[in-house]
Amino acid sequence: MILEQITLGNFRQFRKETISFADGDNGVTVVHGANGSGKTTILNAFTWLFYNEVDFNTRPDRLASEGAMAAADPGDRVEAAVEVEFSHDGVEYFAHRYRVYEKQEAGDFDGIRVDQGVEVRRGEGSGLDAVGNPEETLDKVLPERLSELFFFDGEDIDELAGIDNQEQIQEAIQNLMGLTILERAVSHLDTVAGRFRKKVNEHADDERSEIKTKIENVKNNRDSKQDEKNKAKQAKQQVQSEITEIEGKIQGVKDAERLHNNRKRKEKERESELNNIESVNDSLRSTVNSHAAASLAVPLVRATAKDLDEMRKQGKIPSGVSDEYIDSLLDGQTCICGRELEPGTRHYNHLQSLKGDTVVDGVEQTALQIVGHLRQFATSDDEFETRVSTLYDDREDHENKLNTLDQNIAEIERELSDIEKEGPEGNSVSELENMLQKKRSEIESISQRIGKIIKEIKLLKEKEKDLTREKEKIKIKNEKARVRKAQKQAAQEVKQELQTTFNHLQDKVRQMCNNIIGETFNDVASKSLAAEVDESFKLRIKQQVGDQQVEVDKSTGERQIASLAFVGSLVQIARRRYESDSQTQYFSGGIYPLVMDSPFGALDKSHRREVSRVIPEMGNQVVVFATDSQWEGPVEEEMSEHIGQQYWLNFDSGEKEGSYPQTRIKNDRMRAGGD
Amino acid sequence: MADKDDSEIDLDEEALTRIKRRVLTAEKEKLDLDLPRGINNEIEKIITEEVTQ
Repeated sequence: MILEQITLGNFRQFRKETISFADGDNGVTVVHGANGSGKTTILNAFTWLFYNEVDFNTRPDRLASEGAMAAADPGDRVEAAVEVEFSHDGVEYFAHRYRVYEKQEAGDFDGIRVDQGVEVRRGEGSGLDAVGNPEETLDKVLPERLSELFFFDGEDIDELAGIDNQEQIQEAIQNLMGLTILERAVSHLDTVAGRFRKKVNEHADDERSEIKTKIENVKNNRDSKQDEKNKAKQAKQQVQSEITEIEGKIQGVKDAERLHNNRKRKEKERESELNNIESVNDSLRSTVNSHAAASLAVPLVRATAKDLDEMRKQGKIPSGVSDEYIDSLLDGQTCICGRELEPGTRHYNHLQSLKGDTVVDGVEQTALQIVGHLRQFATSDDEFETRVSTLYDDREDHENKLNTLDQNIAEIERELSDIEKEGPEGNSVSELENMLQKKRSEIESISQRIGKIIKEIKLLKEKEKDLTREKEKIKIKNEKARVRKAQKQAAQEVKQELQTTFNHLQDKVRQMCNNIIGETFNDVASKSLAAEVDESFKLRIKQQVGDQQVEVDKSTGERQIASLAFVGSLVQIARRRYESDSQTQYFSGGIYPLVMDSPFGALDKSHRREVSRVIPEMGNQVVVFATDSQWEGPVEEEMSEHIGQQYWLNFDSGEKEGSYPQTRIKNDRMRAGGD
Repeated sequence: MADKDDSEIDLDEEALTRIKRRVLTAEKEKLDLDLPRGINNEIEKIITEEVTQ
C-alpha cells in the first residue's frame, strides 16, 4: 500500500487541508507542528478513515470543526470528512468517510449527527468505480489488527519493549507475516477434528459385534436343531425297522398271516382315502377362494340385471337417436340435413324405416350388453354352487369309505389280538400286536417331534435372514464411521503440519527480526547494549558484562529505540517477503507505510541522531510528525536528504473575537510562519 | 475422548495438500474480511469434500 494524499474537511481544527505523501527513494514525509497544532489529529484522521476509530484526549465526540459550526446557522448542516487517495497492488483507491451534523441553535458547536458513511472507489487505468463493501475493502487493504504497527504514537511506542508485552510482539510478528492465518487454521482444524471424532464415536462398533454374536447364536441353535432332527430321523428309522420285524413275526404265525396281509391292504386303502380327502379339500379351497367374493355379490347382480332390463324395455334408457326424434322429423317434413320430406318419397320412407332400429345403437345397446354380462355372471355363480356341492359330495363319499376302512382295520386288529398262538420267538400274536401298536405310537410321536423341529429350524432361518439384513445395514453405517475417521485423521494431520510450519516460521521471523534489530539497535544505542526478541517473544535489552550478556533495566529512550527497531525490522521483513519470489500463501509479507507521531519525543540528542539515521530505512514510505524542537539539529541533519515532502502546521488558537481554533497546512515554512 | 479404534488410515497425500491449500485460503479470506464466523463449518465442508472414502 502506498499513501498518496490525505484531505481533511471540517475535521477538528482543519477546515480544508491536504497533504501529499512522498514515496520511493526519498520516501520520507515530515509534518512539522507545535504541540496542539494537530499532529495527533492527522494520525487520528487515518484511523478514523480506515477503521472508524479515533483517540482524542479532548472532546473526543466533537469531530466537526468549531469554525465551521460557528459559521453555520441553526438548522444548517456541516460535514466533517477525511479523504485518502492511495494505491495497493497496482490499483488506485479513493476513500471518503464523512459525518454530518446539524446545528441546533446559536452557540451549538457539537450539533446532532444526522448522517454518516464511508465510500470507496477503486480502479485500474481509467476512472474509479464505487465498491459495494467499503469497510471490508479498507480492512482488506490495511487490516485493523495491523493498525497499531503502522499508525503509532511515538510516546507510546516504547510500550512494546515493556516486560509484559511479549504477546503484543508475538501477535505483531504473526500478523505482519501472515502467520496469524496459520495459527487460526491450527486452532480451527483442531475444533473440526473434534467434530469428526464425535461423529466417529456416534457410529460405534458395539452394534456390529452385538449383531455378529446374535447371528452366531442363531446359527449354533439351528445346527443343534438340525442334529436333533437327524437323530429323530434315525430313531424313526430304528422304530420303523422294529415295526417291520414285528410285522414279520406276526406274518410268521399261520392264522395271523391272512389277517395281517388284509390289514396291510386296508391300511393302504385308508392311506389312499386320506389322500383323496386332502385332494378334495384342496379343490374346495381353490374354488371358494376364486369365487366366494363374487358369490356374495350374486343376489345384487341378479337384481341389477333385472332392473336394468326392465328400464330398457320401458324405454327409460335414452338412445343415440330415439323413435320420438324420428317422428318429430317426419311430422315436420324436414330432415336433419335440411331436405324436405314429403310422405311417400324415398327419403321419407327411408327415415321411417329407421324407427325401431335406432335403439340398438348407443346407450341402450350398452345396457343390453351389461344385462347380458350380469346374467352370465349370475349363471357362473350357479356353476360355482354346483361345483362346490359336487366337491362336498365327493368328500363325504371318501370320508364314509375311510370310516368303513377304520372299522375294518379295528376289526382285524381285534381278531389278531385274540390269536394266542406264539410267533417264531415265543411271543404270542396278541403280544406282538401290542408291541406293534406301541411302536406305531412311538413313530407317531417321533414324527410329531420332527415336524416341530422342522418348524423351529424354519423360524431360525428366517431370524438369521433378518439379522443378516440388519448386519448389512450396520456395515453401511460402519463404512460411514470409517469415512468420518479418515476425515478426522485428515484434519489432525493437516493441523499438525501447519503447526510445525507455524512454529518454524515464527522462529524464523523472530531470528530475522533479531538480525535487523541487532544492526539497528547497535547503530543507535550504546555500544555495550544489545536488543533481541527472545524465545518467549519478549523484547529484551542486554548489556555485555565480561563474557556474558545480562538483561538490564532500560531507559525510556532505549525502550523507544528498541521498539522502533523492532517495528522497523518487521516492516523490512514484510517488504522483503512481498518482493521475493518465494511467496507462500501464509507467509506473504506486504508493503506498508509507517505513520509515526513524535518518534523522537523521549530521546536525547545523540539518540535522536541515530534514530534519524534509521527511520528512512524502515519502510518505503515513512510519515513523521515532529515539533520544531524535536526536528532541529541532528534529526534535520540526518533526515533532510531523505525528505520527499515537508509540511508545516500553522495553528491559530482562535483567541481573537469571531475566530476559532484552526490549523492550516503549508508546504512552505515561511508562509506557515513556523517557529 | 479416546477413539474406539486408533489405527491409522492411509490418506491420499494430494487430498491432504488440497485440504491445506483450501483451508488456508478460507482462513485468509475470513481474516482479511475480519469475519471469522462460520470458518469451522467451512473447514468441515472442505475436509468432507476431499475425504470421501
